[in-house]
Amino acid sequence: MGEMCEKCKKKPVEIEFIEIVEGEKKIKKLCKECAEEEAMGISSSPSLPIKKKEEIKEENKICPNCGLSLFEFFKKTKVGCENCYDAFGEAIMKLIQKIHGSSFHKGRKYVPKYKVTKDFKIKILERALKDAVEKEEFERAAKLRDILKWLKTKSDG
Amino acid sequence: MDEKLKYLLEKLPEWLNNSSKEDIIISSRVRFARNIKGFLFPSVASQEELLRVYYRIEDVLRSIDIIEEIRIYPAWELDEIGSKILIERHLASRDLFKRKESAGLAFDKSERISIMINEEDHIRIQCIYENFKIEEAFIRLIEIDDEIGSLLTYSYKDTLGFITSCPTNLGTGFRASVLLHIPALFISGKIEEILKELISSGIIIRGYYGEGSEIIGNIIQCSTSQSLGKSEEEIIEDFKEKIYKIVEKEKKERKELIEKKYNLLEDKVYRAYGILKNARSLSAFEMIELLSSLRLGASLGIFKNIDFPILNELMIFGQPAHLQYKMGRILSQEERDYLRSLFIRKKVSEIGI
Repeated sequence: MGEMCEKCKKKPVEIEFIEIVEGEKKIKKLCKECAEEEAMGISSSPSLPIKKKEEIKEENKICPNCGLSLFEFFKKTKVGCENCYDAFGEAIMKLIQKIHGSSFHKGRKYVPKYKVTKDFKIKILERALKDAVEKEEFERAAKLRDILKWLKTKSDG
Repeated sequence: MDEKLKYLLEKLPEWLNNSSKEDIIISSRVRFARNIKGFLFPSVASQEELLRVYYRIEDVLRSIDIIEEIRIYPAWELDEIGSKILIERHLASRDLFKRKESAGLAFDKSERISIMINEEDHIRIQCIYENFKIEEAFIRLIEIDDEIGSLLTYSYKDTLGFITSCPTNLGTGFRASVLLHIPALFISGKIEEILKELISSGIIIRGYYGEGSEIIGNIIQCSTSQSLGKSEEEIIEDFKEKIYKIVEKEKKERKELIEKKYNLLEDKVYRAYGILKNARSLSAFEMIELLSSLRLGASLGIFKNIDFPILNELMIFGQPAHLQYKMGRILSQEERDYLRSLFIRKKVSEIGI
């Protein structure tokens, strides 16, 4: 008898569902019925490049805020609170560096009560307009021009 | 089966209801992952704490007016088929229903915007637009993010940016993805090489593999992987460049097919049409596979009367939960395949070619 579906464990495997992250394949073997249910939907997060247990040399640590331990984190791959990133220190920072090739935020800054500026929107939309014109997407270009015109006459707020 | 989502069956999500002739990039999706300062994250928080988070976010969503006709559903009030309808329409992820007692979903009338509450993070805001309108989607996303972020306080640090449950989302909390329909690259066999290239350039690929490791339906989902160390705009620009390259390659292969293998191409798309019009049992995968051929035929002008919204309609409403919701009961696999073939047969006959 062939291999059974990972999810229902009742029917033979017919479909392999794969996700590839950093060259590593994650394969789910499913029967037709369960695979149909999984659909090409949206996924929450890709898998982490976490080492096997025996390779983890770090000492265990516990986050004083939420009580999650570093070893539990390696198993679940999710932290328990914002403080975990401080509590797990270097062990987690190394992982972050490995995932992103960086450990420093560069995108939009957040201050409570933040508001996107008009200039930022204009910059993004002008780039889209350039694309639309290049690719001869005239309907899209016209719409973008309208929005830009409206944005530019509007006072910032 | 409860009736509160019934109105969804009367229409297509707006991002699928457009008649643009662009069929390679089906849709573009952008999302932010956010958490509220001072609360534990969903994987460790108690249900009581998560419910406090839930109601706080619900209050905020009810008070803002930039989302048209927002509807908010607590996950615990949805039955199984209802939840699956939302997953099939790309409004929710499967994971949202893992912690059903404290999670929820909000989306707007157009179904472009959806906000998941207490999935992996407290807040996931996503925006989906048709084709490659990624900037339009991004602008909408930041408008909503700003509005929510000014009414409650996000968890944020200057060094690590927005703090998320999973380290893969740190920094911007941003991810962009596209659904690509690239049949010519599959037919020519060049897909392997292209996937390898994409993966090594940091793109995450998802798709279904059937027997013989072929991706089903010639559709793959590509998404960005880096969220920290680059700004949102840089992530988008970089992503666009990579996606445009695949689109160019697909176009080149299509041209090649028309010039050198027209007979084979014509045979393939007419066979697909024949099966869809005559089959008496059709699995969801077979349907997706055949609709891809129809889409290719329509895009290359072999079928003159087929509009993409019709194909999208078949693709969405032929899915298991949509079929079951419409029938008002749980169906066995055999019943589903039969009813799917019936639905498709009727629709395809109406089109004519």
